[in-house]
This record gives sequence, structure tokens and C-alpha cells, in this order.
Amino acid sequence: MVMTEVVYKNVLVAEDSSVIQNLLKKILLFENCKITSAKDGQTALNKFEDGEFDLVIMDFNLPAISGFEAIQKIRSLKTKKGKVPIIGISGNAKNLPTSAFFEAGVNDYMQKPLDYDKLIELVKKYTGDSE
Amino acid sequence: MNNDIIDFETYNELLKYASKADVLDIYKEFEHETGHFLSLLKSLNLENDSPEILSILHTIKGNAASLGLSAMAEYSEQSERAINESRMSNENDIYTKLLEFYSKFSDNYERLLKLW
Repeated sequence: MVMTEVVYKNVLVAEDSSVIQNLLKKILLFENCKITSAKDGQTALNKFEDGEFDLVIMDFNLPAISGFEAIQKIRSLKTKKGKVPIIGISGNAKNLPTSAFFEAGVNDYMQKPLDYDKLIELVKKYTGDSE
Repeated sequence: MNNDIIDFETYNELLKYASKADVLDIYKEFEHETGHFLSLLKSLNLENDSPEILSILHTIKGNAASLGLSAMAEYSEQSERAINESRMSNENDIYTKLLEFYSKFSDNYERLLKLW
């Protein structure tokens, strides 16, 4: 029998709601993602600096440092890390023009409540796992 | 099976990517977190604490909508909008109504999820 080693994708999830955080952890584990969680923008930046991530999922509405600011700080890095794919998520997306999210530096964004099929599709797209 | 507490379609969507036990855990966490938010809400007033109240409503709205608790999510969104437009003057109304949604959810969700 040939055993195939599972290759986990490292995903940083910055989300202040522990319910959504846990929800994403369980759903993304299904796609072999290993989740690192942060509940505010500053913690997200600290964990981002300390780790190596294939993808970042960032809520825009975070305490301490907003998701917008955290994304801009990541994008200001001149290293390879600054180019990490970022999916922005927001509960207020319909109140803001689409351009605001892309100007902040996301590759894609989703409005809450999340469409889980679409989320998985985007995760596959940005972690190079699309079929 | 129809009910006005949890949207069956959302529950089924979650089951595509997580086990029944995992999904039940998420609902339990929602129960715990929302109970905590309601205790906080009870101690706040619109005159001095509207940013905190808005933040709680925003989180409850997102969490409830993500788990298919549409009525609770809609009420939270309406209250958020009413506060932002200065149309809401009594924080007790928000607390009482949300507590009503919460109690109905808390009393029934485990039974409902087992039936599905």
C-alpha cells in the first residue's frame, strides 16, 4: 500500500469572532489547511512576521489595527512575504465600493455570511491546489 | 423540516465541509459567545456606549448569518442601522428582543440538529 503524505497549507486567519474563526478552522481543515488564528490586526501582523504562510484570510473590521491597515502593512513589505495572497472578508462589504478592498491590497474579497463553496474555490486557487 | 430558528440550507452547506459533531460544536460556541455578548449588552447604554453596542450587534449579525440564524441576524442588522441613523433610543428593546431570539435558539438547537 502506498501512503501519501498530506501536505498542509499554512493559512493565517485574522478574525475577531471566535465563532467564525472556529468555523473557518474546521472548514479549511477539510482542504488540508493548517490554521493560525489571530483576533486582532496587531496579533495578525505579529504572527505573520513570525510564520510562513501560503494564504492570509483577513477580516477588515478588526480591533487594535484594522484589517485594512494590516493588509497595507503586509503589502508594504519588499520581500516575497509581502506578495502573499490575501482574501479579505467583511460584514460591511455592501457599504463600501469594491475598489476599496482591492486598493487595500487584497487578491479577492468575500462578504459575510461567507459562501463556503466560493471560499474553498478561492483557497484552492491561491494555494495552487485548483483542479 | 421547517422551523424559524435555523436555516436548514446553511446547516447542510456546513455539513459539506465538517462533521455533524464539528458543526454542533460551532453552534455550541455561538451559544456561549452570544450569551456573553448579551450579558455585556445588558450593562451598556446607548448614550455612553454606542460604539460597544454597535460592535456587539455587528458580531452577532455576522455569526448568526453564518450559521443560518436569519431572524436574529436581520434584527441585529436593523438595530445596527437604526443606531447609526439615530432612530433607536432604548437599548433595553434591543437586549429584550435579542434575548428572545437567543432563548428560542438555545432551547431548541440541539434537538433540531439531531432531527436533521
